[in-house]
Amino acid sequence: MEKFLSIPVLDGNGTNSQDQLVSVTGILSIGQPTTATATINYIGGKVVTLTWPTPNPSPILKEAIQTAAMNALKSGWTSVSDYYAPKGMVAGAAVNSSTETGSFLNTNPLTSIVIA
Amino acid sequence: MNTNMEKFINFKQLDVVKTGTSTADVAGSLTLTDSAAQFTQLVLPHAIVWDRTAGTERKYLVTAVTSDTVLALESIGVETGTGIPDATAYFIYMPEYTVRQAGTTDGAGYFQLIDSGVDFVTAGVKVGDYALDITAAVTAKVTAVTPTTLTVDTDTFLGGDTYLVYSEGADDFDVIMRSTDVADVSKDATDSSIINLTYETAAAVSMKIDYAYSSTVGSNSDMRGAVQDAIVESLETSWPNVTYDFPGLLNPAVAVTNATWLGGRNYFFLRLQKV
Repeated sequence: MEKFLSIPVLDGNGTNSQDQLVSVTGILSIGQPTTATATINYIGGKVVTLTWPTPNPSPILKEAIQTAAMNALKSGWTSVSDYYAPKGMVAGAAVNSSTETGSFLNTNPLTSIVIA
Repeated sequence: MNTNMEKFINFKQLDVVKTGTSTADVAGSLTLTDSAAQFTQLVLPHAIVWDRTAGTERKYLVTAVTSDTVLALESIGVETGTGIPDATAYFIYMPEYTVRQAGTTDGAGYFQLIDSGVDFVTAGVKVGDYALDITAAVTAKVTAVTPTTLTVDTDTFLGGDTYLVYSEGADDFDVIMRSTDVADVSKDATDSSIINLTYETAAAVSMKIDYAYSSTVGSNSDMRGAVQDAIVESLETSWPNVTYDFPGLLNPAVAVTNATWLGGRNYFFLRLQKV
């Protein structure tokens, strides 16, 4: 069963307008190597590194990702993608974006999601 | 299509409350010295100290917080240590208590601990927690909590006293480890406090479990068996139970070979790590 977290992250232009899918299938373990990063380690050797804009002492980020990933795996099979608001993110208010520039933008989405 | 059910074992791993590097060579005296540390406001007896020297890692229990910069130790496990050598990296864990707040009082009240610079509520201090007056070497119990004032059952705190507030229970957190696709669980060949897991798709060891093995007898397979049992139990649980809580494994108390505070309690996990 394929499952993903959908996570808001800054794009290459520094605009927080995108959600990126991160697989929660095949996870070996989840770590927090620094105060601003959490890693999802996959059984095949791939590692996804999530980078936050602000630091949180270990194990706060690690536990947040663990909880989100486990909740996604517990959801029914038709729920393939679970939205995950990263810790510290403030969702933008849903007002008229045509008259209020940036009103849909979130504050503190992830800085980057990188797979290696 | 992925036909495997995703399953995980949830372990309670002790948090690292202090990392540092020793600053004096006291090997042989069963102590840890760190001139940059403030142990009195971080550490209590029965804390676990891990000498991180690669290849010769050793583990100890704190028997006394001698001063801000010195801890008295006793060695645990098969690979017996004699104290932390100079310039050695170390980790400290708290298996018995969790420190909530430490500092210096800046006021005095009858049966009160006052520190206007902290928030005891945010720090998680609860009624029943302990408040150690480090200056007077007296421990009181907390009977009421406000953001900057604790009411305690012993009138000991004066202005300017250093203190440590702590609660019962290990300072730990949840760590998940994959139980699907496990190919092998084995004891480490050279360290009796390590369990290695290999997965079907990996040629080498994929996960390493470090725990506080405290017996001086080296040929113990209890933890390997317990991890194997947990893997089976985890895989037998029905969906949507994705995680299975490791039930704990009793570290037997034996008068001669396992006589420290750790004997008679469940083993404590220090680190689960991808390798």
